[in-house]
Amino acid sequence: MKNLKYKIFAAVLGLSTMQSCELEVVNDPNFPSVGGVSENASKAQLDALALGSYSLARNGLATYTQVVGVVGKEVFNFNSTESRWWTELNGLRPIDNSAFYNGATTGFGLPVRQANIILAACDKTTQVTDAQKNAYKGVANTFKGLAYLYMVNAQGKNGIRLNVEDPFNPSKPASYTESLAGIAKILDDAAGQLDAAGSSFPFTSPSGFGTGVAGSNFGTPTSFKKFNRAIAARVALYQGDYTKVKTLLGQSFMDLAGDLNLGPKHTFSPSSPDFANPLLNTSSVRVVGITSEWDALDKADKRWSKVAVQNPTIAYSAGGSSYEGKYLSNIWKAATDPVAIIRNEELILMLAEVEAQTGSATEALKLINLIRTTNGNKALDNVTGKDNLVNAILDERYFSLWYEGHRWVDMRRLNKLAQIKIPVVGMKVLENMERPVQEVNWDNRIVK
Amino acid sequence: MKKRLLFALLSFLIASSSLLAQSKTVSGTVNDSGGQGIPGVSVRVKNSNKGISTNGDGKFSLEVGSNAVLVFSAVGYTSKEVTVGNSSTINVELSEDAANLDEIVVSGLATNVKRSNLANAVSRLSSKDLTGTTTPVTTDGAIQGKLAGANIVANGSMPGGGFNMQFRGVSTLGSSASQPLFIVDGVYIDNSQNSNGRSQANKAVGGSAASAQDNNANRLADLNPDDIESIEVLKGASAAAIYGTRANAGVVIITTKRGKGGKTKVSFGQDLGVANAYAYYGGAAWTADKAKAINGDAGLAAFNAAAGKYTNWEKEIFGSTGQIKNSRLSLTGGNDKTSFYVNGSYSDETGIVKNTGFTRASFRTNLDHKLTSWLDLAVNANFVNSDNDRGWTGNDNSSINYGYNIPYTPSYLQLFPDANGNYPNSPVGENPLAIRDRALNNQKVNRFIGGVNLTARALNTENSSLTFKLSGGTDYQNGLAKIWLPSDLQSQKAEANPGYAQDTRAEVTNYNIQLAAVHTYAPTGSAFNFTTSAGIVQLGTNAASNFIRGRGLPAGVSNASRARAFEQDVDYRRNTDQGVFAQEEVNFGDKIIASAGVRFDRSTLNGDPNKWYAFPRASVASNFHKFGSWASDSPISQLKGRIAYGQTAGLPTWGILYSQLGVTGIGGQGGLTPSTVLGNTLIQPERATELEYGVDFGLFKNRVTAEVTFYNKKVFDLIQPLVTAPTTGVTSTNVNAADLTNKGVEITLGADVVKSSNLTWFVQPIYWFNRSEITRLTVPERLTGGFGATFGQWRIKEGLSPTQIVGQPRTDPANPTSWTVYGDQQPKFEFSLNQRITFFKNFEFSALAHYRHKFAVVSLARVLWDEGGNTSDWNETNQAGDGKTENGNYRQNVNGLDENGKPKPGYNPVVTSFLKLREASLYYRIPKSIIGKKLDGLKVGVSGNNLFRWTDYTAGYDPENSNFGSAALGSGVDIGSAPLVRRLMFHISVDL
Repeated sequence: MKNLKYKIFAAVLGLSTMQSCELEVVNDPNFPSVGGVSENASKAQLDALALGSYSLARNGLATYTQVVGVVGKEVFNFNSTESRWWTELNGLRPIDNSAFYNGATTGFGLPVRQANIILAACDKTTQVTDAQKNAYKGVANTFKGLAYLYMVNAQGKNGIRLNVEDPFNPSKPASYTESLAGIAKILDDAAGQLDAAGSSFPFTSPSGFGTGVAGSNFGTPTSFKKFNRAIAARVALYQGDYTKVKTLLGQSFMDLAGDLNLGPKHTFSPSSPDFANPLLNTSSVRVVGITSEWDALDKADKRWSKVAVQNPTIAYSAGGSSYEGKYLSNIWKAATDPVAIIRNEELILMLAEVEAQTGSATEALKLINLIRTTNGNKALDNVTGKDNLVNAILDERYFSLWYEGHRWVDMRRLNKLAQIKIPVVGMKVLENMERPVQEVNWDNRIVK
Repeated sequence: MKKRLLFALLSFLIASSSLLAQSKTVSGTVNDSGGQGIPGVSVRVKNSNKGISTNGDGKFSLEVGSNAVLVFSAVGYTSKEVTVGNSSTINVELSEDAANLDEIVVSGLATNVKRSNLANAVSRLSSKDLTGTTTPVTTDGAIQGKLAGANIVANGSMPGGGFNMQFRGVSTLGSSASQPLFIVDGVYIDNSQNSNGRSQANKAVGGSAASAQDNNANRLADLNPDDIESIEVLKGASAAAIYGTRANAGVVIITTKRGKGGKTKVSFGQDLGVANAYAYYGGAAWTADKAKAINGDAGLAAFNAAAGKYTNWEKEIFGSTGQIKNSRLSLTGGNDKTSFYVNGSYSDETGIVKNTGFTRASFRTNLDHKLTSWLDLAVNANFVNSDNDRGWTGNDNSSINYGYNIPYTPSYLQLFPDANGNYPNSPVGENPLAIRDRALNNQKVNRFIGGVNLTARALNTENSSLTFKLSGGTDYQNGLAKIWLPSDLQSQKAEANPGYAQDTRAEVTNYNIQLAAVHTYAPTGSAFNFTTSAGIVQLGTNAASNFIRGRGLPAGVSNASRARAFEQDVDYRRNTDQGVFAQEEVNFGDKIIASAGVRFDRSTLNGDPNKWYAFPRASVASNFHKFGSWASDSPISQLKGRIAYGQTAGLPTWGILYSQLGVTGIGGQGGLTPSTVLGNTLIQPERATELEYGVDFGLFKNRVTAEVTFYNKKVFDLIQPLVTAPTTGVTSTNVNAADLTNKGVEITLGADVVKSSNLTWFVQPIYWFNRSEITRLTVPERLTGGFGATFGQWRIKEGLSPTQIVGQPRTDPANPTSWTVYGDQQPKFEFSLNQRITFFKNFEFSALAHYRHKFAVVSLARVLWDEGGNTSDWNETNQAGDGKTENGNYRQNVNGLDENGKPKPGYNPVVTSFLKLREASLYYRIPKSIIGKKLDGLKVGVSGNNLFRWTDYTAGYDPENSNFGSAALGSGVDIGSAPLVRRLMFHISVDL
């Protein structure tokens, strides 16, 4: 027995030696790390990051499109479990700077960071050729510019932070004008990089950019640049630089004889790690058109396919007011339906606007009527004067680009917010989204 | 050596051995005041290490010297000393001791101390306190209202539990453990809430992340409260310091029942009961105009079609009667070498909503065996199978949860299924009866908790002893959760891929091993007594969970893998902690008891896994009444002053270290994208210090006792998200950035108001409060928790309480952070009153009332009812002040404070109080004269929970609710909840 006793004590002493060994660092068993791509990234890693850019371009899409649509009184979101879509975004109650709709601004931060990570990784690797680097950079900068454009659309005169490479030391928001100029420069840098990117991308483009989806053919540096120039034209239009718009449209994929739906698309799949089209109506989210606006559209117009007429009507009430929805959005019907990023139809209407603004009334009317007749509507014959033409273009933009996030931005850039029809008494049109509370807090912080 | 074979289980009482020259055998019985034998009483020869404990009938037999004095002591009874003299039979009656001064309380990882010598206010609850009144479903529920300094809030009323437990205020702001550490018989157990994907099924949250909005029970629910002998709660850092790096939120030490030797005793208990909704909320009448205004043409059509046929859908869903059936069978017994406790129990409780319920089958075996005279072995094994149908309450974004949908469902709808079982569509999104009857939300857990304790007495002389204690154990659980929304539900038919099924598996293993040495030394002829302990600890967690989530299911298919569209996830988590500790306790004749100790810990959850953090502690207690003889002439029977200081820490939560690259997919190709949260590899644990001091006194032979405690608990280096500007693509990183203090008072009184043979009346009032303040914050102030400032959020700001609730409107529209302050989630104070009355010897009545005074609740519940037109006072017009606006409409357009500074009844938080009669019972123990010799005991009784509630809360069913489960900040949000449940039970227990 004595022996056993000592054996046990010896074992106990042995156990106590476990204290002397070092504890091993536990590496993340679930995900790779950002640090793993910052030094000498492989081609496979850069390909994956580039595809991440295409994927992230869909970040914030639903929140942005719906918020911008609701604020601009282009659509209502009959959200049965979130009345703030009705009350706060329509000015019935004060707008909040810490609510879910901040996503219309903040959803675009990550695509910008993704681009910055790719740009930095390209500068610190020797594993790919210069042409390949330019391809990654051109794609990254194009999506960066696009993300910034959405961001500044939401924030309006609040502007955006153009330098966020160091998240702990970002630049202060630039003015609206500076913001647009900054975006134009990012897109121009991208165009230059795409020019030096060789004849093909190092990776296979997603189907919405490759040739998998009708109307898309943007899978090479040259064709992708046409998409880049289209976005740059939109920026120039917002800047009011009509000469530049016209030049850029010439370099874009605009095709006056082509399908109005030409253009790159976001694609979706409901199986993870992909996700389903987020703009579909669901049991609780129903996006409806403004009855009085749609009632003004000729019944023969093909653009009626964008809504499904409701009979009986669908009702919504919150905060003491209510609305009868007659036209339920119907652009996307399945979880895999693609969403257009920018379409030929918009490019043609941009050209029409350039012509109207620069005194070429006849050209402008011709382009307006191209859109109308292609859509099965009657041509207009007696529109004269710049303002009337611009208003006519805005009417076409309303239906042609309905629920694509344009109405509010268009009316604001043309100083016509006051002309937006208020469908429900008491509603207001906000001029811009509030700066998210975290943005305000960061700038107001006192470093201790 | 032979004598040591007689050592009883309570051998840790023994200090030193002494040799006795002449000896004889005395025997006898120890009875309680009712004449029943008390098992397990320690019978010890004074000033020696010789002793035994009584058997199951309270009998003992012991060899003693002729001039020996026997000390009889047992938990819950006043100790007694008897001089043996010439007698060979000694029968003793022990009286129940309200103050429990002699009970043994944990003082270190391997040592114990008598309560009368304790320097901390360690709350201890016995099985009588926990389960003696009524049968609680879960252990946390059994503690509620019974402890000073504990804020324990139920997350809801669905069967199966779910509680948020905070001791002495806020110990973390969310990035460390907010819930205390639970240790069962030396095994560190898991008390997390497992995710099951319900919040994705009803879109309460976006993305695929695990969420507290799944509304699951915390896994303490697996522990059968009936197995518990006692619970000791180390509330603050001063008491819990020796637990080091995991003790910031307090430590709950649970000791389960053990065999006491003697005759095998069989006990059988059965509860039968019912559960019902305490009160309802809706019921406003409808008119055609109102139906049209709120629910449009479809509403008007339904209203007209109803033609006066109305149904109270709230009662239809929440008005069922739950059934409670608990059975338990235990065996205890053994001989002088081996003793055992075996308990099998089955609890079955259905909820007030059809198809909700909780069952738990638990089987426990606790074995004690003396291998040799110097080596004791204790083995504990507990297997649990629990099965919980939680139903559908809480937040929702797809009209699925009936808790969310009932507020919108007007009485004029016709929702009953037709003869073929088809449920009509509802114009407000979903038919709640279809969800109740057809949707599945089930969580099953199989769990094994097992531990081994080995005690080796290496040395045992007259003056000193050396004991090694090796203990280890594991907590292994395997969870399976299933969610199913059939594809033909109205809400699913509106989806692109109708039907939702998720199968979630979780496997969690916790293990711990500890080796300690305890040396005691009592110099001859000195009043000093030294206890030195030292040891090492290692513990770890290995967890893996995975799910498959399917959308787009063929009709009738509930298997997630048969869906059209999938999401799946596998997640791993592991960590290891190591610690070393040493402690010295000095006792000067029970007059002054001082102790000091230190623990060093390191963990892989810290930025530097090999950095040791030190946690010192020190305490002094002095029994003033033992100095001189002044106390013997005064009414003061006990007077103790005590002061204790200690440090603990809280580990960073898993994942804080990592900057992840997430995986995304587009068009069948995979891509990489960064997480918006940056990792921090420099993160340090959150550290707490606490100074606790107080006074305990007893009057009139301890018939009246009091324990008054003050504490100041400071927490440093709290981990905070450094919230960056989100347009940078980084939303936050976690940094050590804040300090806070918790100050509070805890007063526990106890009085045997009446103590006669026919009537005893024990009253125990408990009063406590806590105030928290953030004293340092190096990151921008921020709001957290809740659903945005419109409804109320928690504000983290220097100089203010972290549980302060603020919200819209801003007091200065130009200042984006000038929120209106509504109140504090922590109550101004809590008060509970525990009473126990025995009369005619065999009747026992007990009751526990609990009052919580003025605390803020973020309620969205009434908002839903108002928007739906169904609040009971919706049509009344007394709130707007104009005499014509309906309350339901008025409330949707107001927020802020009224002219008296009170929150308006609108879109904002409320401040409220409640008084609940949490437990009440009446038992009758049928006298021996009636039951005869065949039975040892027969007891019958009735009891209830929530028999009475008073509250001024009008913004929902009950102010105790949490949509976000247990959380440091942000629990206590009432939305889509279910009514408070009242339970009534009949009990019978038989001892053979």
